[in-house]
Amino acid sequence: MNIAVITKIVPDTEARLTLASERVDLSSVEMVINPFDEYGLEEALKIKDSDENAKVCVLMVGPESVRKQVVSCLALGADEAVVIDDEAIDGGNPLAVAEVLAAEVKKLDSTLVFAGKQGVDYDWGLTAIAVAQKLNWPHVGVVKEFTPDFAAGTFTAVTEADEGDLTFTGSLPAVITAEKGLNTPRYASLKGIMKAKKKPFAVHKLADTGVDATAVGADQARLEEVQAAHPPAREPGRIIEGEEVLDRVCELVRVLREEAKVL
Amino acid sequence: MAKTLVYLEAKGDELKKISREMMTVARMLGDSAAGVISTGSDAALASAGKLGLKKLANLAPENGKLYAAEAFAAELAKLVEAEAPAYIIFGQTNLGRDLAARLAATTGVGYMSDVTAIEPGEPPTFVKPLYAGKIIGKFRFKGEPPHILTIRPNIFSPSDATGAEVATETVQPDYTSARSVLTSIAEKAAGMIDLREATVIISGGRGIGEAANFQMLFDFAEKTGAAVGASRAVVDEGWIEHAHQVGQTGKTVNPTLYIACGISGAIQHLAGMQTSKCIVAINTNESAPIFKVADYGIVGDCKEVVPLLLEEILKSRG
Ligand SMILES: Cc1cc2nc3c(=O)[nH]c(=O)nc-3n(C[C@H](O)[C@H](O)[C@H](O)COP(=O)(O)OP(=O)(O)OC[C@H]3O[C@@H](n4cnc5c(N)ncnc54)[C@H](O)[C@@H]3O)c2cc1C
Ligand SMILES: Nc1ncnc2c1ncn2[C@@H]1O[C@H](COP(=O)(O)O)[C@@H](O)[C@H]1O
Repeated sequence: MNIAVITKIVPDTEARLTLASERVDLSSVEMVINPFDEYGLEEALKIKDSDENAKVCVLMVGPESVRKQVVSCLALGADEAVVIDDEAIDGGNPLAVAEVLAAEVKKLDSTLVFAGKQGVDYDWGLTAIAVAQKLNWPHVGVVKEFTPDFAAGTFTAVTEADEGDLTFTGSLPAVITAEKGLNTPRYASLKGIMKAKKKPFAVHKLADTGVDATAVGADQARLEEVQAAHPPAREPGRIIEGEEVLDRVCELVRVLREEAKVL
Repeated sequence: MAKTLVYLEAKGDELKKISREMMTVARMLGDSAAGVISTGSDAALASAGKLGLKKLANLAPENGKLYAAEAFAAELAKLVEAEAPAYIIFGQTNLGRDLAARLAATTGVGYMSDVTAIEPGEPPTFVKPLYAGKIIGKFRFKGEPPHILTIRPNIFSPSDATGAEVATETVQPDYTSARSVLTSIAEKAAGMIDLREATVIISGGRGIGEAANFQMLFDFAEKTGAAVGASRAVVDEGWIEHAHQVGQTGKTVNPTLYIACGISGAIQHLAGMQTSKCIVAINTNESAPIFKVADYGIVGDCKEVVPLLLEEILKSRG
């Protein structure tokens, strides 16, 4: 059984971001595996733990310079990695990226695709669902509990919504996007790190995927970023002073009622 | 002006507040809106019928099948064909974002998630926070309509019912063609307010001290009608469930009042709550970063401050 994990790289969540010509300048920012994708990868590795025939392949559309981050997925236990690096792909358009990922997933003959619920960069939450649509597979998103039944070719997945917990049932193959809490990602072992260097790591061009460049070019994008800016800073607040704790609390309640008018 | 299509949401017999917020956005972008909802409740349907829609379709549940992205997207695609809306508006909710993305992937039209502001113009500019709110991004749709957007809850003011009533058309989605189906909803315990809908949130971090002290926050929440939030540190400690986590890998919230108790104010936490109208921080360390975003701060032990605060709030309410 083959399982694909699709993952992207995003700026480290601690990173300070700067602007150049009204766009975010990522040239000197530390990039990491998208945090939600780590839960997707862990879910795939859990299946591999219980089925020695399962193979986990990591797929990423991105620059070849992501090697370090992708190898970190191999160190955790994934078997192979494919990075699709081609200037002809409009990396900012989730539908274009999905087209390429779907083509690679087809070649793998996988039973499952795991992804993150969203990239913590632009929070689109679109790419994985578009992969499902292009493969004509079902998708369940923001999953916090996943139970496959490979013998029956079915699964159940639970997601948390405003209404309460939602339980989905579906058939395999499927695309599942992970919410934090789905599992607890493992750490890489020294042995894993040593082995990772020898695992298959392919860099594909668009031509290798069989996708036509006209389908994934920048002219296909239906959304255009016109400006990126820093948000206005919040006005500096005020520390409530007072002799006793109770004095401070009373003053707080007063200002919340009278100034902020939020009580 | 243009036509719009809104995907309304209900919870039991009630329309969700986000549905009224979507109506506001629909009026900003167009002069007539058609609506789609999926509910088994006549009361919810009747409320939706009074929102001032030109047309309303109910994607009816069937034998415990409550939602199916593939089947719903197929029905929506038909409606889009018939109505030719310029914009299709969803809420940035669990099912809203799922269906919006599925429809975008099905039809290949433009898609923008989590909109927090719209600047008028030809074409209008849509605004959303990027990189966990560190950046504000502005976007425009290109090419032929329709365009899909999801709107962040609690940002746009909710529209009132207009009084005029529209009849509902029942649409039976083809659930047999869907390979993943929502089959059950385990409703939240009574009194549990969803973080994303709450007007007041009291959140606890590691400074709370221990798991048992969360009871103090639940007590506060229960007596004041607030919801309880948490930092990731305490979720990872197992002091409280992930559903309560606020931040980049938790929930994004916009309450009127956010009270951070024993939370340091890490960038990933701020990402989830910095658009709150009023932020109060209670922290023993006067140089904790949370005080930089707080409107009001108390330097003190939250175990001492929170019970007093509850008492004083209840007193002030009489
Ligand atoms: C990829 C990634 C994603 C993340 N996502 C999130 C997220 O979604 N949400 C989130 O919250 N974090 C997130 N984090 C974690 C974040 O970086 C911080 O580690 C976390 O927010 C810290 O939680 P805390 O403020 O409760 O704890 P601490 O940072 O330990 O702060 C505790 C605070 O309590 C104060 N304190 C101590 N005792 C008392 C007392 N008796 N009374 C009052 N105050 C007291 C201390 O002065 C201190 O400021 C993420 C991190 C990463 C790497
Ligand atoms: N360039 C990419 N390569 C591989 N997977 C991706 C890529 N972009 C997005 N994904 C996957 O799709 C999910 C949703 O991303 P997004 O639509 O950008 O929010 C991510 O969590 C990844 O699992």
